[in-house]
Amino acid sequence: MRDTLRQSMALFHTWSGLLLGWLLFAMFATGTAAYFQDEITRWMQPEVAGDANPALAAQGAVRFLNTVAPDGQSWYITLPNSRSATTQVYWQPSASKPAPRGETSAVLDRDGNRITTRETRGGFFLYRFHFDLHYMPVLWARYLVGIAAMFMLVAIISGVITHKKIFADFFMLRFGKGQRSWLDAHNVTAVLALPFHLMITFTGLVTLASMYMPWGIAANYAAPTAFYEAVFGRAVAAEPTGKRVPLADLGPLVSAASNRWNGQRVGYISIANPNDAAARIDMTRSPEASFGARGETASFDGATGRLIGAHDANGAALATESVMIGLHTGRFAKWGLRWLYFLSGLGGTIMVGSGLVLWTVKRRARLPDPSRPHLGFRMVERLNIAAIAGLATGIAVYFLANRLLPLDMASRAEREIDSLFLAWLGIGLWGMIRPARRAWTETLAIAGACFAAVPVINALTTSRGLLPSLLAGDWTFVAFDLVMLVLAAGFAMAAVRSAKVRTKANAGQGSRTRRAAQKVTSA
Amino acid sequence: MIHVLALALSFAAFLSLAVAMKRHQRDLTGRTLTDEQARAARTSGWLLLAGALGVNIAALGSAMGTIVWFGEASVGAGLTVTAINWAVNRKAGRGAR
Repeated sequence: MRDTLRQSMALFHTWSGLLLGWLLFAMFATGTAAYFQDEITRWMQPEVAGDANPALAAQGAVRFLNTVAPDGQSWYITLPNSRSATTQVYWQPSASKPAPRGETSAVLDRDGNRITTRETRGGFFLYRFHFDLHYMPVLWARYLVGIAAMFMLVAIISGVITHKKIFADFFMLRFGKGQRSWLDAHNVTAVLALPFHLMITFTGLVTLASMYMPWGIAANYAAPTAFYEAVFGRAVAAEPTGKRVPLADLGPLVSAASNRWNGQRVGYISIANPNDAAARIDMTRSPEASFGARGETASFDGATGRLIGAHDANGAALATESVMIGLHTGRFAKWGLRWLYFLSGLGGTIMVGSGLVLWTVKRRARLPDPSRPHLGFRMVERLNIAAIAGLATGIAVYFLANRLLPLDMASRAEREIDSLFLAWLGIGLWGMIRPARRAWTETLAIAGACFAAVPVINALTTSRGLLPSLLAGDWTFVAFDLVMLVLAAGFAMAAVRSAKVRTKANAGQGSRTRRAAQKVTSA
Repeated sequence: MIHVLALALSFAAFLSLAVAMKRHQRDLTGRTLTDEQARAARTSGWLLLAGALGVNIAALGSAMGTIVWFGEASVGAGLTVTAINWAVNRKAGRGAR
């Protein structure tokens, strides 16, 4: 009885893991990078240096918004946190004529000037990609990602049931033993960071739970806005009066809100009807200040600057959700814990990748003719190359494009993103036209070379190369370049190993045919 | 500093747990342990792991301490896997010579 459970779970694990494994690999890889999204953005904006003060940044943002959209319907300001230096603003020109997002958003430096050279979406893109994907409607992407996360949860639980020697094999990692080594790598990366994998998958689903399961809200509230109003204290925007009153100075208001929250930073400001008598300012506490991602809010009358309401994210359910999202995103983590998050995420990425490879390694031995696999096998093999080596190369090329594309290029930020996907596509095609084993070696080597090129190109095109950064004690830039070199070394080693396996496999096949020939002659 | 201590404790904890297992004893210590020694290693491994949790909670509070402890436990276990591999390779190298 127990064995049949295990067998069915093994089957379940294999296919749930394979079906969405490629997407999960991309989610894990970019999500892991997103733990350092602010640092990546800093690296991708080498012209911006220093730290920003939230109150001054808010004043700068208002100065900028007053020049581009003084009569806008609403303004949204994401203030810099302790790790970033830029302010993001987004505005809604008017209710009657919605404009495309690209024309109504900007990234500002700490003085409120728009950053026009080297436009980039930085680490924020990698963060958004891990649940919004790209080139497709966000809604579809989030459902797809949700299905993948659900499969992941299933794969984790069925994997634990399947793996009967989970404690006996706890420390087992043997290299150079073919299928056994792949199984070891899969098990070790899964088991060692199992608490992280479970947490990240479950909380990932929680972050979008109200989208996946809207019925609870739908059954109890007439409209979603009524729910948000009740839970988060966000009032529905009042109609503008048409009477023009300049907006109150945001600097003192940011300080006042910060003082209310024991000096924790303000993270986000939204302003309805700016420069109108009915203006309203809502401020939200920065998510980095505590475990709970959903912060306290404070609302001010926009014309007078008077505090008109404050709301703490309270209630057990909300607090639970808030802390789960906080745990997932790790925004509260200082650098030590941030690295632990990053390492665990890397472990998860390797777990998914090795699981994908394992599917082919296990089946290759059982193929009727290993030199001519069937279509399904070939497809999985090629998709593995595209998913693993392709995405890695794409991310490296994304960083290279940031340094190499002309600084004043039109829609430069989009072109950087296109470079990522072009490189990914290129590797995918390469994997299809070459013999599979050779393609593995070649594409892994390309990925390694691209990562190795990042610090080199950085040193050649900016004044913030590895050596100057080291001398200046600029640890963000030093760490970024070093991580690139470590990744380059990792992919180079993987390429060398895959080449060795290839020659061994060829030799093995040769001796087998020789033996077969001997058998024939002796008979 | 507190992280170094807690990390060292969890590394030591997983090394002890590995030493308590028959299949890793020869690689790590060069001999097989008696049942009694293995039991002692297993007990001290769990105690060290609890100690690491205690250090983290004392320094960072119960919520943050627990989160950091999980992360450090993963790294400690990862270091143990590396150490076992290193020991195996060293032995293989000696054997070849």
